[in-house]
Amino acid sequence: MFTSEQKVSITIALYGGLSVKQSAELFGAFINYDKLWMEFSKNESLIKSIIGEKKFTLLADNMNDSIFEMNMERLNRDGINVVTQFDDDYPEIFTALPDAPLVLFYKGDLDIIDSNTIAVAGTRRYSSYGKRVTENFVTALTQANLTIVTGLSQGIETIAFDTAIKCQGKTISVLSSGFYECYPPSAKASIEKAVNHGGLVISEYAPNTRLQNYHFLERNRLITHISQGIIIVEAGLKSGTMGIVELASEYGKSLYAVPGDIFSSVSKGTNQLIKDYACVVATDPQDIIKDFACVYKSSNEIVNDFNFSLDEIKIIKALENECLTLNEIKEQTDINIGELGELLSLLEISGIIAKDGSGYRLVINININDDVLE
Amino acid sequence: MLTTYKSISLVGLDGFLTEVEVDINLGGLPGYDTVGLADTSIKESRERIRSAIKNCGYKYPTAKIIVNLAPADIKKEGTMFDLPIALGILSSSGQLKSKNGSDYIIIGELSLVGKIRRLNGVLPILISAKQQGIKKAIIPYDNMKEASIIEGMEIIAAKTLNEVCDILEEKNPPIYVEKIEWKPDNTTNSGNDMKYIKGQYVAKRALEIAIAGEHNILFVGPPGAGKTMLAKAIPTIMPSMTFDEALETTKIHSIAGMLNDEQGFISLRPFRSPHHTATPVALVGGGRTSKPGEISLANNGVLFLDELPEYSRQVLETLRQPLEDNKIIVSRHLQTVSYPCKFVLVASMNPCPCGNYGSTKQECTCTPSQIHRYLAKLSGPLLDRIDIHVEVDGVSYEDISDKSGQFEESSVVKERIERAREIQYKRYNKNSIRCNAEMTSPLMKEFCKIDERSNLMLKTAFDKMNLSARGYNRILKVARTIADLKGVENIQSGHIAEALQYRAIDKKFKV
Repeated sequence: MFTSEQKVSITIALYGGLSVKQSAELFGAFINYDKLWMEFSKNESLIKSIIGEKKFTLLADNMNDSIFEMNMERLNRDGINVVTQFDDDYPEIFTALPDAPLVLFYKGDLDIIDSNTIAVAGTRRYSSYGKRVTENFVTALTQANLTIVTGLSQGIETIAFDTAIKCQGKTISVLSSGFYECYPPSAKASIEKAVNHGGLVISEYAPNTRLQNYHFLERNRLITHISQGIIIVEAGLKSGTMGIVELASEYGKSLYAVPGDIFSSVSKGTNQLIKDYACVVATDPQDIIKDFACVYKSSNEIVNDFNFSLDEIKIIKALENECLTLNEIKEQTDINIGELGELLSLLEISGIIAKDGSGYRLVINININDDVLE
Repeated sequence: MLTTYKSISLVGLDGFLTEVEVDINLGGLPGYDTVGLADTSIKESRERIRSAIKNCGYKYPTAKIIVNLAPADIKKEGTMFDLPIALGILSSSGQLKSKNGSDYIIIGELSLVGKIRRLNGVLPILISAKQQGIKKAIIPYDNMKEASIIEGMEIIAAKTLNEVCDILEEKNPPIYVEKIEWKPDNTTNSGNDMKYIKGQYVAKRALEIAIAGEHNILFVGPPGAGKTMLAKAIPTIMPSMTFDEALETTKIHSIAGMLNDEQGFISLRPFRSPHHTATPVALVGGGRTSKPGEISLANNGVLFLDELPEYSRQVLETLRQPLEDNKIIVSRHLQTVSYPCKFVLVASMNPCPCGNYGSTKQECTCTPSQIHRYLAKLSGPLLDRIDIHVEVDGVSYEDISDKSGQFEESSVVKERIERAREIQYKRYNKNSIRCNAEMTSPLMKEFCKIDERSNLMLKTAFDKMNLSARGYNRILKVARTIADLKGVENIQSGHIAEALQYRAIDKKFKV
């Protein structure tokens, strides 16, 4: 059964759109929350003075048990859970927040919010370098049992999320819209994946809320607050990602930046951070993991136990330092093109190389003696 | 007096026998009427015929002339009836005493001076005449070339109306069309030879596989990478045509009026590249009289669509059904016609509006939604019908300036392709298909058996490479062709591994 304060908060979250201040004042004005729920319309003048006429009418129409039950049934059916500030399981980390959301909508396991969390943020227009960094870092971080926090935006954040899921890692995703109106549309599938992998998806907006541009800022504050650390992979000088940077320093979270190409526009932001000494420079996932004092299983283990053929060794040698397209590999190794395609597919299937944009690159470090080729 | 001559009228690719009856009625007002659902070009023939008769030294009868084109319930069009009608008028007015005029089918357009002009669709006309058991024909002299491959018919080529009258009255010996032994045309523009394409090993290999198995192929790459150059090299590696293929293709070109004196017969596989402003009708055929479109003109050859996403969505979607069925049914007010359209679709596109998405060298300046919108123009069902997707990367300075590099000549590639085709023709002998791309699921079960090891590999590949289930059949078909190119009976795991390389779009853009 729901208490009156729960019912009021949920109804406000679904219909009211009250500011933090307004809802605090509203709850402050009533000592008895049952009265607030039961006699909402009767206290018209008092409530109107707090929240204004328009919002009052909207709320008054919906402050009754039958509508409330109907809404709860719908949320239940769609697997959306609700937690309010008055509940015991409301995440503790938010209670300290001055503008903590009154109500949180979520899917999945709420407890992992207290695990070791690290947010990955970056541009939507990533380069193949950014993709590579993200995959490399997230794989290692996931294996070190860190929970990856993202906002499910396109680009770096989606790559981080997908990589974490691929590595069977836990994820927390903070939506910038309601559950029914996912943005970007691809997030819908991601939500399912996250829940199936024991992750958590939260949204502070009523499920049918559409994306508004200020939502990104509000979402960033939740992401920053949930995370113990934040990695910036690629960010332009003036970008939403740089907004997270400001929040991070405000909340005192540790900030990591991965240096990028000095000529690339999407690396200008991260490089500037490094220049300003505003962050920890991360060139290896270990730089981050050591701060969390977790056990780290190296993904960059040197593999020696593969039995490579001479041609395969040629390919691996060619890819040692750079990402090459098929044509370039062909030119460097001079293997018959048909066989080369065959070998590349096999190496990709066994997880030694991976497709990166139009090219291929090594996924794991392999030590090969130069003598083998001679 | 009434006389009857035989002629043939076309509906699509099929001709039907038409009797041209001319009756002259001396009583009553002079006049001229054509009946039998004739279109404007036939009705106008009256003026041409009157002048031609007069200018050939005959007398145009001052009487009521009635022309009937039987069967009278099928719409007819074209100018091929000028000649039989003129002959009918001359016979009915007693100026021409033909002995065996009704043995011939007679076709020809008249000029005002009585010269016989060339016609469109002579080849399909003669082929249907032959099928209907007619042994003799009189055709315009200018159409001689396309008629020269018809066997077992006595075909007379005539230049003027007088000449035809003389032949029918047996005054002059006729000029018979000489039968020419058909042989495939192998001339190609040597400037487009594969050996001039530097680098691009993958694209060239993919092209070889595509042409060998008639797989549709899509090139994805930045502007200036050489996609169009690759496409232009296709004619140099296409296998020679068989006689039946040449006949089928020539019929379509004949109807479309695309044959000329030099090119009486299509013996070289067609390469059609309509511009991206083409309308759906231009592509699949249509118009008032259901003319064949670009896809039918590309029959037994290649249809090249440069910058695929620039074509209108509607145009691209119209391609779906012909790609599946290898024929197109064009229904219009006047007639419903089925044209064959067995072609290899070769398409090229940029990966995004700026062209650099996924490039390892240059930065892409497009936003994710721009890329999404650009790619969304190509529907899943359409991409499903393209077996091979291959990435063409930008060419570096070294590639262009390197003069020492020796690359394979087209003729070598062509030889391999022809060998692979030979294997396919033999294998599908009883199955009424010709090549791997046309395999249906039951046939795939029979001819694409894979062993346990390959099966396991495919399964891992699906998980690792993010492939869609739809890709499964396409990979097997391409693997079948790779095996054929190597002359191997059963598909081996290596062939599948190579086939997995040609799924660029699935892998790269499925985010």
